[in-house]
Amino acid sequence: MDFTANYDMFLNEEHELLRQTVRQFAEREVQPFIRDWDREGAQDDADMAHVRPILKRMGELGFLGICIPEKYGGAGMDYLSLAVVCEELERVDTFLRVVLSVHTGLNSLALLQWGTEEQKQKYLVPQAQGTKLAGYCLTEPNAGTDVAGMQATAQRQGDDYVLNGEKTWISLADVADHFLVVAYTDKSKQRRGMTAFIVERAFGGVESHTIHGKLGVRAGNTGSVVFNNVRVPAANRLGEEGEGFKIAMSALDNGRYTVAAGATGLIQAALEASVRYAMERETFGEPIAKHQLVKRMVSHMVRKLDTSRLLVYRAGWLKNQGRRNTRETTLAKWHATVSSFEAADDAIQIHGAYGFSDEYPVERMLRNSRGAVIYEGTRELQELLQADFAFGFRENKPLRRELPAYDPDEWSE
Amino acid sequence: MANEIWLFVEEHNGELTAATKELISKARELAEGLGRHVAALVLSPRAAEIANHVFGYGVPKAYIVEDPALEHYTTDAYVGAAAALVKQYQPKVLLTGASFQMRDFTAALAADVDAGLGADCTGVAVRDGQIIAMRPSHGANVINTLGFNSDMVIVSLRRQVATEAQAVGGTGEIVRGQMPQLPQRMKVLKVEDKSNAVNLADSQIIVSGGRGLGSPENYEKLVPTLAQAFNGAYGASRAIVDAGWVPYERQVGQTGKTVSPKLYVACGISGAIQHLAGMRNSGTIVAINKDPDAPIFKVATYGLVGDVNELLPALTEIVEQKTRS
Amino acid sequence: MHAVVFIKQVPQQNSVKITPDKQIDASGIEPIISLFDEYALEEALLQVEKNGGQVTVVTIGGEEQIDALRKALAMGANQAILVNDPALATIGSLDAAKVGAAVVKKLGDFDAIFCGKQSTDDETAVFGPALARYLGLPVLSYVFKVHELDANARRVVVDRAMETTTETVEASLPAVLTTVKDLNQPRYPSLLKIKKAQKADIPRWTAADLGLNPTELAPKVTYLDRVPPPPRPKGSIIDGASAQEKARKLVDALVDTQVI
Repeated sequence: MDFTANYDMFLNEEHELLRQTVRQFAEREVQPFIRDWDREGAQDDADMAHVRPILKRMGELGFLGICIPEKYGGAGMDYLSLAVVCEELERVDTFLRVVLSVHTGLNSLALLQWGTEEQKQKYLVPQAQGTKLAGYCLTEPNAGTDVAGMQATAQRQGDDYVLNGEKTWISLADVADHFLVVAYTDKSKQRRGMTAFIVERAFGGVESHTIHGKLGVRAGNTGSVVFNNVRVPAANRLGEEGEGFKIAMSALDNGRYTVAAGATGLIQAALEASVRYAMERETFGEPIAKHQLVKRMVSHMVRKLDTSRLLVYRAGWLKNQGRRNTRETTLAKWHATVSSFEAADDAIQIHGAYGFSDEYPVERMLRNSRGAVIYEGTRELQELLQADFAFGFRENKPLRRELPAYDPDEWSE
Repeated sequence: MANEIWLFVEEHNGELTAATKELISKARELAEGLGRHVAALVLSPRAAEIANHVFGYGVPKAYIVEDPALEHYTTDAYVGAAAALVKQYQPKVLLTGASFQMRDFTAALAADVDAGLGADCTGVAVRDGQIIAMRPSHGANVINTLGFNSDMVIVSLRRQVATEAQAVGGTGEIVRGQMPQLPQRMKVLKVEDKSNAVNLADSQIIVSGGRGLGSPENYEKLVPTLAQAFNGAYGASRAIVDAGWVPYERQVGQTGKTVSPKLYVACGISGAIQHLAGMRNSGTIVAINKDPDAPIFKVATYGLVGDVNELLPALTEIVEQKTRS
Repeated sequence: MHAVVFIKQVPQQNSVKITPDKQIDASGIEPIISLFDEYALEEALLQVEKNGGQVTVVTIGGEEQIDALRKALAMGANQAILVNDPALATIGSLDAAKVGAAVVKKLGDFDAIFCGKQSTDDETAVFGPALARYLGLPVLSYVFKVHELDANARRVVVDRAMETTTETVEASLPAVLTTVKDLNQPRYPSLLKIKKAQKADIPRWTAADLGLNPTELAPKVTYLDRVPPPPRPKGSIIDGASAQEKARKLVDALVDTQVI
């Protein structure tokens, strides 16, 4: 059955044709090779030759600038389109969706929200067109959820800032051309002393190192980026001094949205694989689809799929309206990622011993889904957030710059 | 003599094709059922000579157009020549083979003479005094029984729908038609035999490989070798054609070739619905796959569960021994 | 140059059901542009890019076929037309070609017509050659390479893929070309065009608009019955301790049953 049917309250025919297009791309250009790429990525000397051509294709097809206005080089589609792209990419493999998360969600949308017109022309346009790739550098070896624990610094020197520090678990570390980097301009002010910068790899002093031995997302590039006395022009400061934490957190509202949408696609992939297998595989003289405990696993996957999708689309709808959506997005991210891990786990169970080998895609789904329960805000952080919203301990104060509402006319030139 | 049962004659290297011999049997069967006579339709620069071959198989009459313009098939020349004869002599039925040229020919001719057309059929028969035809559609998931409201019925028939007629000797009557004036607008510039080309549809034994072979090198090493041992042809699944291992012309399946050989050996092919569409009418199906749950086993006559890299060389060796002895 | 492309929307998988009144039920199966038609559309787009001009894409069928036309627009076709008339709901391939000929005549100026060699549902391969005859045009079927298509010189040279031969054929334009798989690599819809395609005005033409009398299109072929294929006889798994033993047992079985 078509698990994407009956979302007309959120989606229109434009989204439907977009979905088909992304699905065709992923099934045609990635699916036939993904097992090999994933295997290869597990090796220390992997050359990952597939990464750049695939990212180039995604750029040419407009996926990387999906929800960026046409005047900034994007496709001018809405934020729900971003979710559809992420769903369909991660339905085939997580590494594809990760590209959208960092390049589009965390970086490009932050430029759209916070950037000056000059910054948008210089950085957002090539990123939306896919000719330049972008990453997001917040996490450090000793600072993840505890953002304030970061050590990177940017010292003002004349017209430049001098950036020093090491960022890690950076997706596209070795391939991105631009990085959005958060560092202390004034450590004494803690969160209010952080500032965001647009840093080009081409500025001297930027180095990257690949992380090997990942549990999942092995077909994708992850690494550390080291900034060693990198001179960043003041014109590349995103927002004001001291606004870095707010910018980083607002970027996460978009990054988490893509992660949630991708996890929804992974649940769908796990469900589809399970349905296919359970109809084919026979035990005790009938397809295992007829066994009640298999049915239960499948029905729970369906529940998780639809609830995740509804939560994601609600967050996307709010973004389209230009409304703050931190609570809704984090809820979607928490629910969808935890559900995707559970769904992949059940999919393996349904596949029995076959699910334990990479003959079938479900073991890759399990490995790929696990990271998202940690990155871009751990499961535990999301749980605390929801409680804090419920108790009223936390509320969203208006930002100096909000993510712009979707305007179909203005976004199409 | 109107309302005859015609069959379209094709020859290759001076011999009637096997398909034509099947058509002779089938036309005879229909003629008996309808109480009519069989006649051949021969379009060729050497039509009279070919007609004499056909008479040797017990066909008593041939309508021919003998003209140099019929050296190579063009729709204009063949359909023009046939349409003139059909309009003049009004056969009840015309049977043809289902090669690409014949599919083109029958479609164009049916349009010209306003006939009912059963395209790419697996059977044709007389039921209650009427012609019916069987044709699969929807990737062989639907078997349609066609009836016809038209004066004339054209049916293109796949291979293996009748036993081949045997030579019995004899002569017959030749009725000559005229080559009509043709528009000068189509020209065959070149006809090239494809290198290693094989007409999968005509092969009695086909060995096909799929993704389970692991690599293009394994396909190249194992599949043609086994096919050669069987003295058969080799094909491939869509998955490995799309992956670029094997050219499209070897693809068996709904969007490739539809085949019904005596023996079909599927190696490392899981049996996606679109592959089954292309081969499920084969006589005997052998499936070789390491996954015992692969859907291919549902249609297999014999299944071998195991590693193709071990099973295919072993099989090749034993088949070679058998065929040598 | 003006290229006209006929496309049809078909179920992606052919796992269709047969209704009690012998109709095909494809509900629940994702509809797509028939595979070979997508190659036809791509070839038309490529040739028009070379020659300059317009691509018109035409579908004969119900309102649900509009998605295929919108996708074609998103791939780059300039205009789309849906011939939608309940009176045409059950026409066969020959009559569809008659309707197609009427569409082409109404469009007027054109240089080449492209369609897939056959649809992947009915699989008759009749539409293209019949369309050509109804229009009095040359037909080049089973095209797998277009060497030259020159709208000014009114000349086209193609390779036709036959079973064991490749034919290089020249024809004058206008002509009908039917395409096989792998003739080209069909492009993805462009995201910018996806948005425009949703807003595009797609005219609906009826039989009357085409000057056709539906009673003249009474089908010459009727469906007396439709059934699923008979199940294959149950097979058996050949066991053995080694690959050699399994292979030997298989060959013995094939010899015993006179398959080889």
